[in-house]
Amino acid sequence: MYPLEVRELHAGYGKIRVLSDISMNVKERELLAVVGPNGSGKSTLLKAIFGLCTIFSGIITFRGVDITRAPPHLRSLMGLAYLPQVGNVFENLTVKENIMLALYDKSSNLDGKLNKIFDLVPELKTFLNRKVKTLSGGERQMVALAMCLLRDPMLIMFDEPTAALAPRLARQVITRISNLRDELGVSVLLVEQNALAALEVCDRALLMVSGTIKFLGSPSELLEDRELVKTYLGLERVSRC
Amino acid sequence: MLDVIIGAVVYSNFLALLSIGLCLTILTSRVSSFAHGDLAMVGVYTAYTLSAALGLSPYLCLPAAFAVGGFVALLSFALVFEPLRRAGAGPVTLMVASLALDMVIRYSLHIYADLLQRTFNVYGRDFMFNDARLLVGGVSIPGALIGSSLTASVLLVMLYLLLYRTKLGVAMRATIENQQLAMVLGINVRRVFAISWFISGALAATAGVFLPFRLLVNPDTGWSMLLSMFASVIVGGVGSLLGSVLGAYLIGSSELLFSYLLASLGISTAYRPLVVFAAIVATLMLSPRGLSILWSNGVKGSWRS
Repeated sequence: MYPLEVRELHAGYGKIRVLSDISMNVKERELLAVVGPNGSGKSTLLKAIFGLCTIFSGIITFRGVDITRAPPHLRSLMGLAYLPQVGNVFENLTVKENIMLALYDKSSNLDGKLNKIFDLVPELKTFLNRKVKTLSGGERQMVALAMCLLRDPMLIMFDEPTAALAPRLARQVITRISNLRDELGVSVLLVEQNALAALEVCDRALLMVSGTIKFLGSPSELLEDRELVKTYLGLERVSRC
Repeated sequence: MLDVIIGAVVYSNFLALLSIGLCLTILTSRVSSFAHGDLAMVGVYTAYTLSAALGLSPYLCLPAAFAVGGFVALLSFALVFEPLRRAGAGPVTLMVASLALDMVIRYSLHIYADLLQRTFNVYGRDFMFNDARLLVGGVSIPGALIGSSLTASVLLVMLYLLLYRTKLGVAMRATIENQQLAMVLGINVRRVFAISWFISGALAATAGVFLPFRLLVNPDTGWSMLLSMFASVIVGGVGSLLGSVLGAYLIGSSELLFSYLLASLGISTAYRPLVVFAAIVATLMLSPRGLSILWSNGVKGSWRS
């Protein structure tokens, strides 16, 4: 049984179909990178898995339970976490209030959880009582990541976590995500526009084109396919990952 | 003149409770409900029924009005707005649905008024409540002034404490700001909507109980006050809870004072809505974010925003 399994999924927004016949899975403690050109449906795939867009047909199971029609808050309760690309923190609330919300449906004590998170994201200590709207883009991402981790997820879905970050910081964020998989033993589904950086750290890669899966396999296999890499990832020359 | 000022305060207290509830449903479930005035009349008829049946003072019926108003609003959400929202209805569809809901509630109240008249042998329409008067420093003050001011203050402070001092309140503010993220964090957004509808209806019905102390009421009275409610929300800045309260006091007092001015000049008070329309037009043309521009930075979801 895989933590996450998607079978013959067709999904989109309203009546518009974006994803067609998607079948994939995420294994235990695996980092699966989803790459592909803009508009290929990468973010929609995550939204569909989390129940935030229209599902036309297909089945999504999480830890063996069919969650295709489950409301998003129940998916969250089951241990599925999703970090959206934008709007992933409440700007008008303080960092502490954001963190409180991350534990909204959990009965655990806040202080104990906070200490654990401070170990993983130490920067958080310095701006705990500030309103999120006063933080920089990088600091906001830290808060969003902390909120995600506080919920003790079994599988985390990241939607382009490095968008709008400086290239050096982007590398650091991707490395940190791959460390999370090792330190916390969670499975990770990473949608990333910086394909090369994602392929360097992932266990498997999924290439999406026009709402369908073009490739699913090891990252080295994908990088060896010059045609795919050149056409869909815009990479001319690739050094070994 | 003193009576005009007293009337203005009572009316403004009434508008404040209604407009903050209206603002809450606009913020959470994006519904500009045209049935909101009817919820005030649900409160009126609840108090009237208990007064007629048990001989209770309308002031003692406030908790019952609160509960019944909240329940009717909750029912409206569960049976009308939530199914439509889940079917993908936009704000315009929801607004039109609220017009239909207004007719259903209003004409149900008309039927109920007839029933009430036959059962208890009282006037089902165009009735008023007898008010007690308190003598303070030689000045006779109507109970509705003290009652409505106390009720409005207590309820508004309680709402503030709920939003800022409780976990549920933080979840409500979070849902207002970003529904999708709220869902992502495990917040049952539907439950938050339902609670905000209950609060909105409860506040409206409680406010309604004070209306018959000042004017003759019938099932259509709430509908006729819809313009003032929306004006309060617009003048305060759509989406600002504090703004809607301040807007209510501004609109309420302007209306009553304008009415007094018209009467003093021998002009028909039928022109009273003129000041309300003028306030809406001036706000939309000069400062579309209303009074909230004075303190807000444009981020939704706060008491002030």
